Amino acid sequence: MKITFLLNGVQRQEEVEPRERADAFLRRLGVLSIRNGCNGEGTCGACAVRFDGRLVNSCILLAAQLDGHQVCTVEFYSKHRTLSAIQSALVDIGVVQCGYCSAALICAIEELLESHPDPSDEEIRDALSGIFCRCTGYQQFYKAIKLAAKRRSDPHFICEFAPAFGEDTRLVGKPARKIDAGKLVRGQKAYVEDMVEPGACVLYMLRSPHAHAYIKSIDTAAALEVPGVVYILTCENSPTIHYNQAGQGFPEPSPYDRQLIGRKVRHVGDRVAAIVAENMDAAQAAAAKIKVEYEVLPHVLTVDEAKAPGAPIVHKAKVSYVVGAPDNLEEYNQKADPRDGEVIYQFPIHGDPHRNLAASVHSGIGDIEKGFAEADAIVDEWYDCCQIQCTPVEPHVVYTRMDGDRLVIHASTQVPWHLRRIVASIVQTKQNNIRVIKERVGGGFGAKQDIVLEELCAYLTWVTGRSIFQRFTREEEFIASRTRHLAKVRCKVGAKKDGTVTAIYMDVQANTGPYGAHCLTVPMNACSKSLPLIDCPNMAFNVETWYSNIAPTGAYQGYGAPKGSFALQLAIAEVSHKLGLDHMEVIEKNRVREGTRLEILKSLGEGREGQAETIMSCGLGPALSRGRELIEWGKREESNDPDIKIGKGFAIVQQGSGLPGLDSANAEVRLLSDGTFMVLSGGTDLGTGLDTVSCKFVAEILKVDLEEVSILSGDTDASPFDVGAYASSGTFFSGGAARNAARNMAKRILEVASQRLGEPVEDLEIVYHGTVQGKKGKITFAEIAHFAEQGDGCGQLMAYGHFIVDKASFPYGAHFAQVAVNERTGEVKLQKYFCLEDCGTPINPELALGQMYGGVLKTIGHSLYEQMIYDEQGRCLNPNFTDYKVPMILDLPEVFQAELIPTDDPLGPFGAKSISEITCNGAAPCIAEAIHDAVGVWMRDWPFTPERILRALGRIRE
Amino acid sequence: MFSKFYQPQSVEEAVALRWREPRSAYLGGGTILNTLSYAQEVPASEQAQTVISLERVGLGGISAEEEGLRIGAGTTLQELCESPLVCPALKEATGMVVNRNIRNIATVGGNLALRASTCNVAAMLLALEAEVEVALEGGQRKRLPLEEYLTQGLPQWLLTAVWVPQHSAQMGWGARRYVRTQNDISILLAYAVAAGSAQRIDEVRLVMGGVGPQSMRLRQLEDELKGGALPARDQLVEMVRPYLHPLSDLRGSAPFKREVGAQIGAWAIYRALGQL
Repeated sequence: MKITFLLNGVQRQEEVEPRERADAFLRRLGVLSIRNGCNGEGTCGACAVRFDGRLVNSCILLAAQLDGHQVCTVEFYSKHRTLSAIQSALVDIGVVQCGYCSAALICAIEELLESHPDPSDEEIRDALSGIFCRCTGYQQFYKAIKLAAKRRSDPHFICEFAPAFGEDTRLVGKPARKIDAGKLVRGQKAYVEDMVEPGACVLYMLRSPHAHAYIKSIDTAAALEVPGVVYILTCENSPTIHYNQAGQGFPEPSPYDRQLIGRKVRHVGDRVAAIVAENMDAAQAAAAKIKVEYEVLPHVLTVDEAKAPGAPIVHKAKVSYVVGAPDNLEEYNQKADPRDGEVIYQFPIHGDPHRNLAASVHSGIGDIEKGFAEADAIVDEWYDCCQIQCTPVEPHVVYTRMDGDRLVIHASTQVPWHLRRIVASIVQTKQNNIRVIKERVGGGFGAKQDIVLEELCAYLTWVTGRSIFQRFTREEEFIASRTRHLAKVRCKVGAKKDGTVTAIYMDVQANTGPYGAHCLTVPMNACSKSLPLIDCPNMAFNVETWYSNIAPTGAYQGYGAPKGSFALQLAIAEVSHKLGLDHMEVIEKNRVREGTRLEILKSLGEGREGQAETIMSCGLGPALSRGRELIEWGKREESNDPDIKIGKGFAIVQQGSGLPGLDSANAEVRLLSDGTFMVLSGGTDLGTGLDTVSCKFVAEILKVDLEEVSILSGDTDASPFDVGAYASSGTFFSGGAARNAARNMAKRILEVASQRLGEPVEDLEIVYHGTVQGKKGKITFAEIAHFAEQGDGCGQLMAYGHFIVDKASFPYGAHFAQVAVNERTGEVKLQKYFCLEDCGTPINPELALGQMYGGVLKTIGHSLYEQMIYDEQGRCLNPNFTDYKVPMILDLPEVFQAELIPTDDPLGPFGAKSISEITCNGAAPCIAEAIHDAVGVWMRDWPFTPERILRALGRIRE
Repeated sequence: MFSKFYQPQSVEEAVALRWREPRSAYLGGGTILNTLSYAQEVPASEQAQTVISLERVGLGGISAEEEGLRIGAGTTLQELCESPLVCPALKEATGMVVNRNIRNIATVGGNLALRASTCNVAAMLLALEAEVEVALEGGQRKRLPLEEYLTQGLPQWLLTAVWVPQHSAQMGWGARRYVRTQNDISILLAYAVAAGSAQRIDEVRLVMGGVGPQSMRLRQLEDELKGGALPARDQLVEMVRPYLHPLSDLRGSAPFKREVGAQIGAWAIYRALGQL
């Protein structure tokens, strides 16, 4: 049918199908800003447009409904190269992180400000209530929208966007526009889905309906006859190379325990057949014609089931070791079933796959038995953390194509170089034949540290020569991408009457699901990032990670630390309570400080020998003192509502800043002809502002304006190697490499200037703006560049920077919560939440605050709402936003405040440490303690749902 | 999957199409019919193939009439929230519908036609003893209590308007829902309207959702309470509890829902009588 409508002020007449959705239709017309995060569920709002002025989700609107109406998208507000009042305000306040939902948010704010030029907080909440943003935590939107409101009448209005840090810096520590933010708020081509060319094929995955089964036979003959089908990959024609999808440094501490498509399926949603077709209709029609005969096996879903004697074995595979194989391997492998493929360990991580044990480690310091014997009180409890999903609004997505004989992968990834390495091993080619281009990433949070679809599309493009686009549905995001490892953590803490902690024991029983991505390191991090917060001579831990048939797990922001932090921090709160001591006093007595020697780190190497460290900078003291002042620690609050009880809690947190001795980053700086600079960085900006960090370092050191430094990052053809964005390494490592490259560029500039000015280098100094000042003369960078590029010049100035460290820099922080618990219904309301964190020098303060709000809100979700639920057959029952509930703006704490506690770290670039992951470690323990303070029950299982609270209170009659 | 899209110009035309086309459905805003859950949860053989858009039929508008408030079935929920004519009880209940994006396009008629157990708008309209106006086969109009429409209405009937009686709109009210996050479909809801005082309840109506197949008036409880003094809170909770028969699902177990349902039911009555 033909429809006529007004699109961004221009009348359009278009032919549409009755079934066509408006979001797909508008993208077909070239409106790229329409995003999709829920596949037409109507729950995420990323596709929202203004429909006759009203904000509406275009995914639940038929294209035909547009007939006779007006549609306005962010493109309408992006007509010129200047930013609108709203766009500029969002950029200045720093609420554009991944940017995937920015276009929808801008439409929402346009609607709001047209009807409410001076909106209240409540009106702002209502306006944004339907849009899911996983990055920002929403809090800074209040300020951004109020700034936008002012700028509508006064376009040049400015205010303090965020606090500034650094006394002797021009750019570092000062708010500045994130360099990709303008592009993102204009809705320009930025993400993988925007790069797909006409004629590209799609990939549709036929997935297993069983949690555990052998594929006895698979018949694709009829499917291959479906017009439009190009190729079908199954276990019959899949390469038998084994690999792991974890995007970790090579050799990985994760077993190579999977093939592209194996003969055994190990979870509901596991790969059965990959169908490449000209369009989705053909692919789905073909999938319906594939005949699969399964031999269904009994399955295991929990750790207890997996470790039970006689349990079904998830990997009854031939096990081998690249190095360090045990002597009895041949005997061990006699029980292997060839249909299970292989498990190849790069080195021993103490797994026993034939018992479902993927990895294990145990160690400690001192004498815990002696320590517990000295204690006056002991708490010994299990703390249970459920399976949660990272839920980036942009799901996993990839576009692969051939460029001549080279394979090009447009990826939304945290690890471009690991991706290139893994793909090269699968398609059996050299890495020079592969180019990975990391596009803007619509949220990663750890889920995109793993290669969960890229390698398959890449292989199929390599085989067929066809361009292929694949985008996970929201359901696939839950059942076939990555989730947080589940773990039950036993935490035993002993303390004396005076509050001295005498011994700590942690036993982490983790569930890695069907494949062992991060199976050692995530569960181990539960100990690595919690034990070193307490200065106790007797500490020990045991970590065991078990295979099962649930949806795959992997990395999630915090990387195991939130589980350990929850267990240990809450156990210390419990033991304090048991001793009748103030929890704050106990923490002050036992916490680490600047100069504390962390002996426990000797036992906590990531797949290698660890080493003791001394804390070089630590903001715990000021974070605690500021937090207790903000929350009025010790003051009991009473509600006017008799149903409501109020309580308070807090927790201290830490993380790392990359992995010393394992991670490495590289960058290059080039001097351009007019004295400006181009940075080539291996760093992978996930929306966190890493590109801006790198440019700031270069501009700061070379004394030019930020606008005079551009960056190209995450392109394996153009940028130097970097391990990727994980383990909170971005600012520290990738930024550090850019800083080092800039320092080397400064040296080169001075050398050339010395020749040109005829003065010794010692007499020269780089001064703002872009000039070398000597005692006698001066020369600009433009003049140096001009000389360098001439026929008699020295050649373009290029400088390289590499960053590694052998010592650790830990960020620290403290979180405080005040909750109101309804004793009759179990409902919990967060009245106050304060997040105080020390990231050394905050390089982008406004973005650092955004990371804090975002991390905290995510983990408020994990603590109170989020949980993947399975039926007995291993099917996830809530792989959608209708029933997997994520927090949105209406769930924000009534008072929500993040503050940066500056310290100066001697190792980090400009004194910086990491900020992102640490933010995830505080919510669960401080909310759990606050709930206990309010109603007297210890909530030891995530999430603390009203049902669990009422049960704990004994208020539910069966 | 939809294969036909009609845009009738009148109620008569729309109704005639609905009766004529075997697998057809009326389309208001589309927040149900156009969603993934409709495509996934309704059996393919029962899914509509023909869409009859009501947009040009002329079902909009809110007007204050002598006998009460007339709300056109095509009114969006957000229009309802913003209208100065609408009573605060109905506004509050409508404001509980998940979020603004949905309220901006979902219609009153579509919400009622859905007959969901936890439909915020339907539940409050039941408490307000609203009536609906429907167009039957041939376009003939009929007015009937909402409660009757929800239980006996045919899917072919076109809901054209809702009437909210004046006296209901002036009663006290209490509106409470149980949700997992603030951006959630209601798992349980309790809407009460009442007149009188704690010493003597002249009239009370309690509608509960999520505790049975449809939102329901607890008439027997209402009769027990009418004319008497307001029972103590815990006693009232016990009086509500026997009427609740929720099912266990992944959103909560039956015992939990019964407990919370009883609590919020009692709360709503207390609030309606100004006691909380």
